[in-house]
Amino acid sequence: MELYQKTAGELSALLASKEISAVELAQDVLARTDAVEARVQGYVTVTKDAALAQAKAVDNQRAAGEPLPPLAGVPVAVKDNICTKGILTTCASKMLYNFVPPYNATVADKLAANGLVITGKANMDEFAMGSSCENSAMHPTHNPHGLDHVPGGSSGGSAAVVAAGEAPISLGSDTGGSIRQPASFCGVVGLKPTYGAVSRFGLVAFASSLDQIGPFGRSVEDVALLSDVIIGQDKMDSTSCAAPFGSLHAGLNPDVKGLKIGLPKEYFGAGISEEVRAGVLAAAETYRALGAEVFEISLPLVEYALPIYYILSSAEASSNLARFDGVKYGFRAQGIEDITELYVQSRSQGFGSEVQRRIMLGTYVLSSGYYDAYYKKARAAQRRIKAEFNGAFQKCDVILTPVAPTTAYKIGEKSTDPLEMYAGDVCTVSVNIAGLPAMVQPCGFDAHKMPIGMQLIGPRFGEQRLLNAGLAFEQASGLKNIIAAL
Amino acid sequence: MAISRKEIEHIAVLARLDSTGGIFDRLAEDMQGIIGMVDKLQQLDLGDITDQIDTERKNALREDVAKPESNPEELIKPNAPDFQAGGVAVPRVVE
Repeated sequence: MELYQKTAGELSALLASKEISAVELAQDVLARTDAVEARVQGYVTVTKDAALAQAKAVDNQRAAGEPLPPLAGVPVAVKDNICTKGILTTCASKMLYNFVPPYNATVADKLAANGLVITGKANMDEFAMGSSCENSAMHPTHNPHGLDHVPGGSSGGSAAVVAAGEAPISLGSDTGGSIRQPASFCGVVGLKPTYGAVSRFGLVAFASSLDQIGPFGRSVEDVALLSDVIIGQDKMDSTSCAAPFGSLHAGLNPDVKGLKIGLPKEYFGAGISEEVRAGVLAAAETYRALGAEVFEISLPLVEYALPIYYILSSAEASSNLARFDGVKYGFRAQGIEDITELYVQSRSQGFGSEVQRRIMLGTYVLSSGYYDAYYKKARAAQRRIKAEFNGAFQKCDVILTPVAPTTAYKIGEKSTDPLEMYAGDVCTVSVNIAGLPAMVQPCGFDAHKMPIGMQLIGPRFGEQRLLNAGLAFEQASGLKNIIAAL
Repeated sequence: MAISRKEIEHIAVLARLDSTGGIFDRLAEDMQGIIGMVDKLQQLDLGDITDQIDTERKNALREDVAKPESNPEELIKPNAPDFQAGGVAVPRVVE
C-alpha cells in the first residue's frame, strides 16, 4: 500500500514511530497529486514547495526529540475561502483572483501549531455559493469516482482531493450543506460542527450566522483527529464558544447498544431517489442489528427549510459581500472615472452569476417594504425549526437521514436551473438553521458505482455521539478509506 | 408576490450591480423563480412566535485593546489595486 492510500490515523502512527518521515509522506502525496490532478482538478493552488519545507521542519523537530501532536507531518488540504498568510486565497472568484491574505485564519494557525502540512488550496463554488463546484471561476472539479460527475459543493475540491488520495484530510466550510453534500457525493466522511465550536476568524464570510468550518477524512477516526485540532473558543470570533467536551478522538467508542436513532419520515418522502432511500434505510437496519433502537419521528417543518435558508443566507451574503467594491483589494474594473460606477462595474465583472443572484435576493428580502414579510419572518421561523429539533432530541439521541435527494449527477446536468440546484439542499439546510452538528459518511454505492452517503444529526455539541455512531457503522459496514481508482 | 422588472432594476441599484447588460435579463428572469420559491414561507403559520430574538446564542466580546500591527502600508499595499502616496487611489469623489 502506498502512503497516499493510508488514513491520517495510520500515518500518524508511522510518523511517530519514525518508520516514515514527513518529507517522504509529502513527496508521496504530491506525486499522487501530479498523477491525478489534471483529471480531478480539486485544487486552485498546490503549495508544493511550502509543503516540503513544512514537512522538513516537522522532521527536524522530531529528530530533535520534541514531543509532537498526533497529526504533525500529516498533509492537509484547505478550502480556498480560508485565509492562509502568504498563500493565494481566491474563494474561486475573479473578485479575489490575486488576493494574498496578510494574516492566517485561526484554523490555519491551529494547523501550523499542530505541525500539519498544507498541500494546497481546494476548489469550491464561488464564495461557497453552490452545490456542484461548477460555480468556480477557476475550473470545475471532477468527482474522482466518475470524472464526468460533479463532486458536490461548495467544498467540492476539499472532498474530491481526499477521495482521490491527493490529501488524507482537508478542511471545508458548511453554510447549508457545503461539507456534507460533497462528502456524500465523493464517498468520504465530513463533519459540520455545532455553530460556534470552530472559530470563523479568517473564513471569508458568506452567511455569518450559519457558516462553520469542518473536517473531511476517509475515516471517522481521521475526522475526530482533525476536529480535535480545530475546535475551541477564539477571542477573534465573538460567536465562538467553549465546547463542553475534551478530545473527541480519545472519546471514540463504537458501542451503539440502546442508542435511540430517529428516522424523520419527511426526509424519506417524494423527491428522494429510490437508491438513496434504500441505502440509508439499510444503514438503519445495520444499526438495529448492532443493538440500537431505530424508530420513525416527524420533522414537518423541513417543508419550509429551503425558503428560510435562502432568505437568511442570501440576506447575510448581500451584507457580507458589500465589502467587495474594487477599492481596497481584489479585482477592480478598469477605465472608470466615477466612484459609484467603479463599485458597480467591479462587482458586476468580478462576481459570477450565482453570487449576483444571491446578492440580489438578499438585497430584496432586506429592502424597505419586504423586510417583515421575508427576513423577519424567516428569523422567527428559525426559532420554530430549532424548537422542532429540540423536541425530537427529547425522544432520540441522533437523527439519521439522507444527505441529498440523489447521488452525484453529471457535470452540466443541473447548472442551468438555479431552483433545481437549490432543491438539492433540502436535507442539509435545517441543520445550519438550527446550529446543530451533523456528520456524513458513505453507506453504499448506486448502480453506477457512485457513493451514497448518510447523515447523522446530533443535538448541540453532540459531536462525540455522532462520531461514535458513525464509527459503529463504519466498522460494521467496512465502508472506510475508500479511494477512487482513477 | 410577483416582482416587476422595474423593481428588480431598483434592487440592482441598491446592490451596486449593473442592470444594463444582456446578462441581467437572465438574472431578472431567475429572480422571478427564486422569489416564487421563497414565497412559500408565507404559508407558514408562526402562531405566537413573532419576534426574532435568539436567546441561545450570546456574543463573547474580547477586551477592546489596541494591538500593534505591522506597518499599514505593508499590510495594504500588496493587495491594493492602485496604491499611491501611502493610500488607496480611487476616482475623484468630490468635485
